[in-house]
Amino acid sequence: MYTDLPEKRIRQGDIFRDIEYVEDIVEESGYLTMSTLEFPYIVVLSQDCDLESDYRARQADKESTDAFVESILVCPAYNEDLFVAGEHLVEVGLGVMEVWTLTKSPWKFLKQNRYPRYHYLPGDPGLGTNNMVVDFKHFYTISRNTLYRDYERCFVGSIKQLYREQLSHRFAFYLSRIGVPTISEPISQYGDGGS
Amino acid sequence: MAHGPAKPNADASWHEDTATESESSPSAAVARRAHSLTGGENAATDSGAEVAGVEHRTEAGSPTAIRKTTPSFGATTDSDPVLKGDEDTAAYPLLNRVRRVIRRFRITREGDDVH
Repeated sequence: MYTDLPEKRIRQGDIFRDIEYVEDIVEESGYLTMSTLEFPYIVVLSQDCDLESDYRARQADKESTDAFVESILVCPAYNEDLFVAGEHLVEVGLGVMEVWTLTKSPWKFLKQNRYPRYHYLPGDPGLGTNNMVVDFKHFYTISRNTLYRDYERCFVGSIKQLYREQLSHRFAFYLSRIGVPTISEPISQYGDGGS
Repeated sequence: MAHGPAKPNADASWHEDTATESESSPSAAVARRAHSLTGGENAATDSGAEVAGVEHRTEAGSPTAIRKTTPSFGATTDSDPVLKGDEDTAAYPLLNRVRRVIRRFRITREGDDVH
């Protein structure tokens, strides 16, 4: 499911570890207060063609910056054990979240990627990763230059094309879902006496 | 020279006013960052020694009260979540936890007499 790639460019499906995300910086009374989030793992979700174009354009050192991207879309990938216990975001102040039972159907459905909100990433001994869960409700953008700067230190591996496209498609589907109100009255009312 | 509030600009330097992060953390990333942020002669240390150029701040009851997490967005506590987290959930590797870290830096201008 994962692969290591010879060319050192950021791709969709890349997994990075130990990424620090600057959440907020406030200057007040001669002090800067900086809030950051430390992500043990993230997965890149920006379109790969955009990332490749950015890489090629910068390599070519062209004057045109049309193909440049400035930020990269990522999702945190949460440790499975912590996620199951609902504790994966305890240390960012969100408390214990939904607790899953490993032997029951909801968790099995999640592992089969049957819930639109979540994506299951099996661990890989070669990469040194545990099983992880991506929550599509949590996504961030990281500066392109920052991620390239940390590439050597933080790159773990990359999801193979078929699986990364599945990930990308499911993410896009989740973001593009249409929220509709709960239907409390028969739909037929809209047909009564309509024009 | 007194140093009042100063805007960061090209001539300004800024120093972290906090000491090291949790030195007991097994996290390589944390250790690297702690090294980079507290390295050099501008850094205060866990020992509590005052170092020129940096205001050493400690919070009550916490000699390493640098790292703060928020129990809810926007509010901070003075606890040391790294150590507590280790004690409470030793089964989970520290590296696998998403954490919020809040740091404060005092802004100074080059040439300021900083105490």
